[in-house]
Amino acid sequence: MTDNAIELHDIEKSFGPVEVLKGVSLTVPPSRCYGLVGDNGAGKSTLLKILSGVHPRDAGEILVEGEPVDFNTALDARLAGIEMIYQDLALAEDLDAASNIFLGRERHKGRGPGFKRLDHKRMHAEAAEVLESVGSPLPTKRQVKALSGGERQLVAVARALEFNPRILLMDEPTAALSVEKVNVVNRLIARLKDRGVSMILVSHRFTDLIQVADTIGVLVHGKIVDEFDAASHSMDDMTTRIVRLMSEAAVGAA
Amino acid sequence: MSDAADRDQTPSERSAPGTIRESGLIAWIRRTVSEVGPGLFVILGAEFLVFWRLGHPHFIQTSNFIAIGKRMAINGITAVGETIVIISGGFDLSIGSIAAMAGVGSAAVVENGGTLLGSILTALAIGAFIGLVNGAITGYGRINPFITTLGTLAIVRGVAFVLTNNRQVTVSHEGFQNLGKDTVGGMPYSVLILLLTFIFFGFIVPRYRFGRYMYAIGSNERAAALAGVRINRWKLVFFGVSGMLAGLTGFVNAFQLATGIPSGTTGIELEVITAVILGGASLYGGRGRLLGTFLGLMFLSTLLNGLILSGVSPFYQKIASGSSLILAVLFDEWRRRRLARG
Repeated sequence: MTDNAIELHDIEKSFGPVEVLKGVSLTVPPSRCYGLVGDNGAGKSTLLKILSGVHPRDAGEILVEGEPVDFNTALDARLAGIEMIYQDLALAEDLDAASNIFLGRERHKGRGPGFKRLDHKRMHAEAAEVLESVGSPLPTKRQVKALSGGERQLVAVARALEFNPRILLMDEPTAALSVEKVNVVNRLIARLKDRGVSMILVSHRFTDLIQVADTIGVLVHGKIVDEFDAASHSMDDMTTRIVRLMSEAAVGAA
Repeated sequence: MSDAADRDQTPSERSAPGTIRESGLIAWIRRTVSEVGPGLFVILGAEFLVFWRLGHPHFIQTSNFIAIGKRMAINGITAVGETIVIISGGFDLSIGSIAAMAGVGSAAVVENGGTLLGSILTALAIGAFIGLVNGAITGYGRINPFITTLGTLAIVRGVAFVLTNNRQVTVSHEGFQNLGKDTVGGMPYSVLILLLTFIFFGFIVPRYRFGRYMYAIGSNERAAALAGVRINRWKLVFFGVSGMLAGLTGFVNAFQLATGIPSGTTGIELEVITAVILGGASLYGGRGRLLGTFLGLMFLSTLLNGLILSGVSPFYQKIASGSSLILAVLFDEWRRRRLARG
């Protein structure tokens, strides 16, 4: 039996007296995409921050490929194979696409320690390669600020992939995209699965998520109140189900 | 955000300096002009024309160009450091004080029997040390660089006064004096040092991580940190280089005058920052070019020189530099908004 990419057991987190996560458990099998739907304040961002090592959890267990892990810093999460793509994508807009992809891990000419020259040619070639592998080729020499929303997303994903992650966390991956561009993300996720990457996508735009995720979880007030397989339900089914849960939650909160 | 999604077709060829290695002189010139801003080239040309036709007959003369060059050298060497700091999203107001302190220090070394090499190393070390302090306070201490360097501007100047009791250090060392008089093929040492500084960093910036991280941190510090770039360490480097070059400026100023003056180079930060911003660097960081700074310096030095030659009272110099600074920032702001609109 192969291990799941990531398993969460009863994750709890409070900020002072506010209980944000009240025992969240979820499982993402290898090469699968888990879509977490929830309204603002449901605890989505907190969960992502725990998984990316920004916040420590109060209780519960995280297993990455069967191994229990403990993150104190973002670097710990990265070393465990978890990469996070922020909603704002965290790109250096004045640099070109290739420079962003290799930021912090520049390729150099020559060997040995000391002051090594950057290998621009190699970085552009490798950047073009990884971009091609996740979607469409785009000009690697163009400044990021001159790229479209979808292209920026590709650059951010390509950069994350350079760390060879096993699990990719994406916060509101479609928020920056126009409605038609959601299929860009769709295609991207399919390619990532082919590469053996598992994903957790978090969004309040559930109509986007149910198009791309394998499993949908509905997070309400820090708890997963419903979870279902996207393949075995019709779009309408899922929509009614999520809308009902979320409106119940909203009424309950009021 | 939807307008970002619709920018697919923008045929923008603008690229970050240091991140693209297009071949061809034409391409390089086009890129440079667009990054520095075509305006600067126009006003620089217009300026020469005006002073040539309307100014003093001595304006177009080798000796005057050497005078302009010497003036440029003092501001220019430290302007390289200021450009680096500003592109990386920082700001360095302390350069004038550092230069004075280093000038006094280097003069004191040769006056007390030290060698020329010892003198220049002292100037560089003083500058680098203060620069590292600036970088540490700004980075690790998370203090706004404007405040940090405003503080060290006062502190360092004060220390220079205390140590010298505000007495100038006159240099009788012959080799030191000769640096201010001799030339290399007609070029004063100060101008040679200026050019070498520009050429050295012009070589480093596009080829090494130094330049890459300078733009990256200035462009989006958080993104660089998330990518694993050690921000605070690089801030030490950038401020350290700026301090070191301010120290070098102090040394050059001292040998040009054969004197270390504790109250010298006061207010050069105004002219230097004006030149950097005129040269296309953004106060928001992430954008700028050394060549732009060079042209900005040329513009300012020529302007001040031309005004003097045209018989304008030196009191107007400050008005001219101050106005140029405000115009440059207005221009930067306008350009930023235009770029933001795509």
